[in-house]
Amino acid sequence: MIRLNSFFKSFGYKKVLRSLDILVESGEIVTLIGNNGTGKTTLLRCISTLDSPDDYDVAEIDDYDLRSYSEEVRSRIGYLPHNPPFYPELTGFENLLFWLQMNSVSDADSKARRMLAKVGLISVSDDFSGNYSSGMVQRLGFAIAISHNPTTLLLDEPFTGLDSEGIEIMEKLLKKIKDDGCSVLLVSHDSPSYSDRTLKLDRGGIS
Amino acid sequence: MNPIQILIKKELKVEFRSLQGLVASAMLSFMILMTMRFSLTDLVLVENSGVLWASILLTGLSFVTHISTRDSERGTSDLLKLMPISRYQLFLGRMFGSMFLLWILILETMKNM
Repeated sequence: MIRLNSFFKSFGYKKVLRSLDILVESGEIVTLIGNNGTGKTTLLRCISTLDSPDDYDVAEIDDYDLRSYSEEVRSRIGYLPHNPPFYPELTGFENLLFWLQMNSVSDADSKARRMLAKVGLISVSDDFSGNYSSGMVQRLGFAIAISHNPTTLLLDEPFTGLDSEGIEIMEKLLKKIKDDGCSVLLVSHDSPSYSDRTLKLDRGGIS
Repeated sequence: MNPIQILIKKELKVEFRSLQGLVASAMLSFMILMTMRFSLTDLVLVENSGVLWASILLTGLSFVTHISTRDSERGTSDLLKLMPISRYQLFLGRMFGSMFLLWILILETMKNM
């Protein structure tokens, strides 16, 4: 569950997020839409603890405060950024294995293979990720985001660069994750049909 | 496995496959040693004055800088920062990874001196 109250973030003089209030319940998919530069990605980066907010009354993931319990929060979050970063010298399997091992997931080897099969990358799992197409990178990013069974999933334009098969796979996995009780905050330009609510971010607040 | 060990293993794997940092640092180390060797006529001065250690220190600094810069440029620093480990463990993992690579470089240099 994501709970934000009076959440502020600025870059220098530019106030990006102003007194933002958001609540995403467990098992809910919420789509966040808004024009470019309205702070959608900044919000996801703040929730994932990559950026620190200026101030807030409440900022919690499953009742864990973002600042006080940042490691616990990170272990509960799966984050797919707009351009997922990987080590090009490592294969897709090795990148995923590294992530799983760092998240202390047991039986990481077989879990990594299973996840790659789920996102349709098993045939290229031993290829270097530096040779992947943008769609493959997006699939690998999604596999990494959901592989450690997070309770909160943050997706920044997850369907960018994906073919129809990739979108279908991702949507199917998203629905399953939702049924398992995961809170999903999805940044997109349009709201998908399976989204429970759509919020519009405008001038740093929900309109 | 401990997160620091996993990080070290990853650093070694990435470096041995790209060789970017190793080659650049070897060149830097070689240049420093050659400059000192030609500047000082007495070879004993080079061997006993700590010049070798100064070159190792400078090379080590370049190694750490290289790894940090590479992660920032690729965005993989964000991937590391998303992991549920403390910044302290992250720093130690990178530092020990660089130190391992540096020792490999030192041993190779010593072997060929």
